[in-house]
Amino acid sequence: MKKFIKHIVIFFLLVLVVFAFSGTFNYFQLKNTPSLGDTETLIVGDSRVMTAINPELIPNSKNIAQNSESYIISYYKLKFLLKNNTKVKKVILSFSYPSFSAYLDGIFKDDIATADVFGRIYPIMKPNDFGSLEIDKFKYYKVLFKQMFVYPHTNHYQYMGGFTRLKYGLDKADLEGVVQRHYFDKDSNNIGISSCASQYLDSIVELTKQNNIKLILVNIPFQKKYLEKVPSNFIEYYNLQKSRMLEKVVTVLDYGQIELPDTYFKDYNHLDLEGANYFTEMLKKDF
Amino acid sequence: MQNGFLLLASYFFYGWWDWRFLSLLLGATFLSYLLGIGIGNAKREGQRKLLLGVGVGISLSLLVFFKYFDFFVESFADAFSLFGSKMSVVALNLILPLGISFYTFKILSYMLDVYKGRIPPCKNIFDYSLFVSFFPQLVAGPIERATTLLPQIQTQRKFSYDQAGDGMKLILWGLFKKIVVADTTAGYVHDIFSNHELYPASMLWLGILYFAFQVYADFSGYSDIAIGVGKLLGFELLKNFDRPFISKNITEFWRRWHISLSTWFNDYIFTPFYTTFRNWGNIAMYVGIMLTFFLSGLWHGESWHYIFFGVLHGAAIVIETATKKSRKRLSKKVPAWLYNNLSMVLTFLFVIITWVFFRAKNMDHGFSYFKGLFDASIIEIPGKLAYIPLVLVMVIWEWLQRKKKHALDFGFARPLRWLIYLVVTFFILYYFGNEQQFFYFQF
Repeated sequence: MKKFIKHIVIFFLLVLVVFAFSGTFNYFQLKNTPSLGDTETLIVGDSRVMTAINPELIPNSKNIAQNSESYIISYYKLKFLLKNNTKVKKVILSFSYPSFSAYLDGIFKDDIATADVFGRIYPIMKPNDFGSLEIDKFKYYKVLFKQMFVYPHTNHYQYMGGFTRLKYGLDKADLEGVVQRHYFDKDSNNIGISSCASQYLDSIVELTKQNNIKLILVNIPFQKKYLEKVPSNFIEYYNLQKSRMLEKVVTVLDYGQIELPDTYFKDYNHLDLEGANYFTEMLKKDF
Repeated sequence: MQNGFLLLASYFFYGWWDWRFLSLLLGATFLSYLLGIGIGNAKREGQRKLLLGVGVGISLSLLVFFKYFDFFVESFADAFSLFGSKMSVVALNLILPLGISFYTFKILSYMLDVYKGRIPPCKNIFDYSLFVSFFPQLVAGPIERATTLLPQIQTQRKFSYDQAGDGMKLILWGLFKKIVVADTTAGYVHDIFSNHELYPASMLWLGILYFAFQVYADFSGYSDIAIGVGKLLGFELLKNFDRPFISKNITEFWRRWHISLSTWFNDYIFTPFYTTFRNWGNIAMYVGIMLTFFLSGLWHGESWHYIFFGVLHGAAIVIETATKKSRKRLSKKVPAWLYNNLSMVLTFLFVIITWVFFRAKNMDHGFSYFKGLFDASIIEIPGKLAYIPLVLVMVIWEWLQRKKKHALDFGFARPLRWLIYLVVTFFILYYFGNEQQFFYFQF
């Protein structure tokens, strides 16, 4: 028994040694803020801008949008990046109907994407930063532990996102599924408006003002069948936020209702590469 | 002392999930304990039969009530509606008590073994309670027999370095299979099965391939952990899996897959049935096989798609039994390597295709997925190939270690062995985070 316990203890000490090495390495890696270089236009937000705005067509721009990114994440991401990147002059931010859905509030707890989201944002957000939002703290710390102690690595910038080229796929897209996810809960009741989206949108407005950055809110084009299914309370709330932003002298470019050919869509709420190139050229002219 | 501690630990383990169902476990244990003694002490055959009947009846009633009540009521209403009239039914939506299918089968085998005289009735209530509730195997097996587990419970166990070391290694390998292979592939499987109509046929094939290894890694991983914990505590539990995917026919597959359940059905359903109706000749065997697999399907879940899965396997074994001689003749005409490998591939294909119905939500879902498998888009290159290397690591490793006691049994020098254990540990930690409930907990 003694020999067995001794071997178990030695084995776990070896595991601890690896933890200590990885932890030290990752700690110093985390201290580096990624440089945006000469980037003047930063594209931030959810999967809709992630797939719709091609930074190759906009000089000195960088698309750092990511799927399932709510305003709270965009706020902390910008706050973190703008500290050491003073060349940024414009921020293009996703602004559409699902941006205000409560489904984005629930993504930090009991969601299929929870672990994935924590795996991206741990360098920029601590559990206390989530305010009144419910988060799965155990899962957060589990992800943090894994990223910091299990293996040494340099990839601590998964929150950076990037433009994603998609192929046409509207013919196979699931309209009901995406509408259900964006606007309804498991029992198919209207999921309601996010408790904090508007608050963090205001915080982003303030942050960009403080850094003398022009904020441009962009509603990307949706396929018309999707628009027909958006519940009225979301359209009303979106319009209310749009008016509020215009009052704050924020530029709002609303392409939500324009009609694009179906070949420009990956699915009902994402553009494919052809659509993204067309849309980016259109956007460039307008700002 | 040892047994008292283990009994408390087992009840704590079960109560942690839902303490309310502890009473069900305690009640079933106490009743079967009394009936076991009654069967053992009864002098007249009629009395013994009556007590056995009461025991089997009550145990099965509990299982049927908690697991199958809604299914039977709804199926009855569906059947009624075929005649044109609608019947309103009251589904109870009962919570399925964790592990009820497993511990009920343990209790049944105990009473049947006492009745058959294979073991004397257990007189010590604590020993018997530990047999029923032994925590490593309480919720998902292996379904241990009283003939092998009770004698171990009734003996003072001594610590053995080698046994405990093997136990730790089995736990480590079980965790690797569960966390690294089963839980990672589970996401792909869920996505492909949930959205099968959106994917090409090649992706659906990949989906069933992933599912085959997900369910194997999940369940055999659990069994390895259970056997490993058993070894740490000084017990030797039944082996539950023996490289099932190298089987050359379905009969062999069921000798290698969920061995403790297959042997249970063989010993307590098929053999008694076949022995009773032996004078019917082959018909008795075929009916016995179909009945066994019908019940095996039903055991897995209260739904027609599980029963259909069981019936498909039963039918395959009936065909194998009926064509045994002609297959043997064929095997002599074809080179052995070709015959064996082809048999292995065909068996594997049959297993993974029939698992469509095992994984499906219902029969419609199963048939829709099945239809999708044979689409022209089968030639498209599927996405979601990222986890194939993990599956291959598990398969190749287990194949290389097939002649050893377990997958982490090496003859290398200690530093190399420990390095391998460390690598496995860090693989587990790396993939840790997407834990899924053990697949067989739902049964």
